[in-house]
Amino acid sequence: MIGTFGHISLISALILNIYLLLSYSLSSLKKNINFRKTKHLNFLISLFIFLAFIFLLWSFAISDFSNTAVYQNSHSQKPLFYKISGSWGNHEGSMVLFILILSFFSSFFSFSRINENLKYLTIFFQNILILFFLVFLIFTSNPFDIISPTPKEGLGLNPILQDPLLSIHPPFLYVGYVGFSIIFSFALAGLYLQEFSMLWSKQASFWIIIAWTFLTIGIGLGSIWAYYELGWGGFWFWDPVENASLVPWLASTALLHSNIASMKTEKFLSWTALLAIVTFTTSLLGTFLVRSGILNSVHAFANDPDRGLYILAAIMIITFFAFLIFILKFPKDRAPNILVFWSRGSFILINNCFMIFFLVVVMVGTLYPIFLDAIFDKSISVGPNYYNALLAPFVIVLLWFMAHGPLLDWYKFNKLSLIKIIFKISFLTLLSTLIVIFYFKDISLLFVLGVFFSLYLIISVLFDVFKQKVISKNLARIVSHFGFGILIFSIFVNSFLSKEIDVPIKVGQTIKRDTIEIQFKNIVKSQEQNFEEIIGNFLVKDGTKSFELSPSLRKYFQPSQVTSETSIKNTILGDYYLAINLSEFDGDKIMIRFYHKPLMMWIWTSIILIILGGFIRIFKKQDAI
Amino acid sequence: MQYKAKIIILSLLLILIFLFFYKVLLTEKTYHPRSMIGKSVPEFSIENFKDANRKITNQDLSAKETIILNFWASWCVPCRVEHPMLLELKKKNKLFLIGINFKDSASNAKKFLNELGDPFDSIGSDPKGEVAIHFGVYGIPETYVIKKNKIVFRHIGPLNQDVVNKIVSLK
Amino acid sequence: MIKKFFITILFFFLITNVSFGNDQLKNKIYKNLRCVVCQGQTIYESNSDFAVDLKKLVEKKLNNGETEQQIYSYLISRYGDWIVMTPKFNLSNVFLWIIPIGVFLIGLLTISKITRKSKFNS
Repeated sequence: MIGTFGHISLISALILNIYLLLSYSLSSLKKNINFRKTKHLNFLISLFIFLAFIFLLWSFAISDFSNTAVYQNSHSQKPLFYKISGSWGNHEGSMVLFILILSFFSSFFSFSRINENLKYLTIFFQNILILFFLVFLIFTSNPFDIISPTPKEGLGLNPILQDPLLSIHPPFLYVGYVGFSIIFSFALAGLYLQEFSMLWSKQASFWIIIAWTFLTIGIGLGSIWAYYELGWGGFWFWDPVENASLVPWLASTALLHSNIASMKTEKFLSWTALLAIVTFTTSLLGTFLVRSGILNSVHAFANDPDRGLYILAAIMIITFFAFLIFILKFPKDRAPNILVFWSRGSFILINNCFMIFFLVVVMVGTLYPIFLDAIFDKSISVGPNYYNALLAPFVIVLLWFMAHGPLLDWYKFNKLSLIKIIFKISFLTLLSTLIVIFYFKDISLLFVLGVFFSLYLIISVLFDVFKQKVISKNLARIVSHFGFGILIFSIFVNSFLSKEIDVPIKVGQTIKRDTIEIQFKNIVKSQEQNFEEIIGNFLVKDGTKSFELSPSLRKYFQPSQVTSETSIKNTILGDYYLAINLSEFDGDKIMIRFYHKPLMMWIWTSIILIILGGFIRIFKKQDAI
Repeated sequence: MQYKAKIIILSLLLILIFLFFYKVLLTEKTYHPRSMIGKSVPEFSIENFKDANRKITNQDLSAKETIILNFWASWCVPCRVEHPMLLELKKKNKLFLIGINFKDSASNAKKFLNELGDPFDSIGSDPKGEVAIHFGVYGIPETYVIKKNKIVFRHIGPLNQDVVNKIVSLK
Repeated sequence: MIKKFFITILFFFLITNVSFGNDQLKNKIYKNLRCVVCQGQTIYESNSDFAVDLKKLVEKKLNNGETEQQIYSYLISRYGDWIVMTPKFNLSNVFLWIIPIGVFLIGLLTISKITRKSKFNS
């Protein structure tokens, strides 16, 4: 029943969408566009898609197994929260979320104070995107598909997927990913009407920062989940699906900065327009890759090459027309063609250069094996060593440019004051680097460089703060750049100084390594509603610190599955992390893996700071560049 | 004029990208390992399941011109499914079969053969799975065709009629 | 200016070493070998039978005195290049490096074309 309503809602949305597109096209030919009509149709479309979404959530909530998606992905014994969040954890449901966000952005955009021609052409383009995806949804991925006879129980009870972080990470990720659609449409509209100007940049900045911030949150949540739940101590694996979300993030960071420059000077307009198109194109490409079955990844959705083909064709068409509009109508730079190297604008260009480089590294690393396999029948793997080798040195150099960019003026250049500032920052950085090296006792070259340049950035932010007459001007940049400096610093320390102990241990035994002591006190068994648990109680000592860790093995009943649960102690200087190896038992000993992960909490905090900078910018009233 | 050139380049690029991904989508995703094919049989020496006094070694794989090598275990369900085809290869096609019993107990393996029949001329024991890795095995069952001491064909997963036909044609 | 900048980057790039971190050799190898029957996991992260068997074999080989490269060669001859997560440096893989660096160079060139050293004002 609800399924039918849901289906009707989707079809209604599609009909209204086609009507909007046709009526807008016809009336624009007559040069007499009815803006109010477009606005209202737009709202109605959002309403119907929202209704369809609610009906889908409802079907999951009440475990309506006549719905194929519910049957395949849910189970009556799941807690309600996970039943509901399960609705977007599968292909069909996530596509509904995708389209919902497309149309919500469209409706919110109609409230903006942009001139009506530009605004409604944007909404027109946005609705073309909605058309493509609605057709895809209804005809190849119907979320209200019926299965008959109605099964008594569902299939989806994988305990690993029942996790709060994992459940909320898709909506955030999608607001980011899909949010770039409105910037894409707005850029195309601006290009088409030849109104792509500094004013466009000012008006676009709000939407860019929202999508960027939410994408950062989405990626951050995924990373935190991986660290806490997967049990291998890592938080980023260069997995193809992770990379598919990182590529748009890199493009949008470039866009964010290029747009800031576009607000100040006309030199960057065509480049910003190009980035606006490229960012959403990479989002679409990511969507395609993840669902097509091409990628070899733990995240892979249920694959279906037919769906892959449709999305591929849709992306090619959308991309073609977008670039066509760009080629025919890109804004010719009116300002004189020379930019001073030692200026903020130029350093923003350099940022873009690095971002595009990182983007190409991630794309090539992900797609090259696929390319070799498909064309030359050769199979290779590209793992973390490739990315680390290529990215680390460039990130280090980027840090220096990030440090000086905000300290340079847009137009004027004073060589003497630049030299003075380089000396001051370098001196302070050298001092702090020595302190850090002395404390951590690692002098490998890459580590020292990473520490030096991330401290350089952090100290330069302090200089940035003192330069401000009013602290609230540029606060967003200060907070985000500060966060980024801490992030890189923490990642270097974490990578170089993590300790790992893999040992067999039996009850009563104590293992000692360096300053760490692990004592296996006892085993406790417990029984919950849906699993049996074997908990190992350990007493861990590090120098004078001492605390308990209790990793466990869980045997779930339905489905029959064993998981290893980690036990983590967070401290300011690092995390202590213990997990039991599932598959290795040696007589009366169990294999445990213990990690000391320095500065983990700093990594999460720095990501929060970066996001906070984004929110500060979103809520800022006036322009503060 | 410049516009035309750019548009043509754009179209060509997109068509290339489309064709590339189209080919990728069409590529079958099942394992088609190419490694080990054409190579000589690797050296090994393991316990002989049927005769405690002899070992099974790579020399046994060059005893005849064509030898079928099959990795199996009593606990492996697809191995049960393919077993009749192994018997057929032995009885009907008169091929020489050597089995490697993978991570199994001798008593369970014997029960399996008593129940379903024994197509093997010799059987080696690989209790730790080391010989399997030595041969590049992905998982059992896995079957190799060896001619003149070289690996000429391999199949991952249970045998089916097409594969059996292919094996027979290689005789 | 741009040339100096580029040379600096090249210098950093050449002197940095590929492996990141201080793992023991055994774990380092585990993290560098693909579990060929899993979706996108290394044998370090996987609990599958294949991964466990392979870990045991690697440990045995290390105890026999084999080097990291010998172990990789052995496994590559049996499972193909893709079992090792770090791409070898050969003719076909050189594009993995050329493409990104090429793009970066193009970016640098563009920036050097459209910027100039300033006449300084104070």
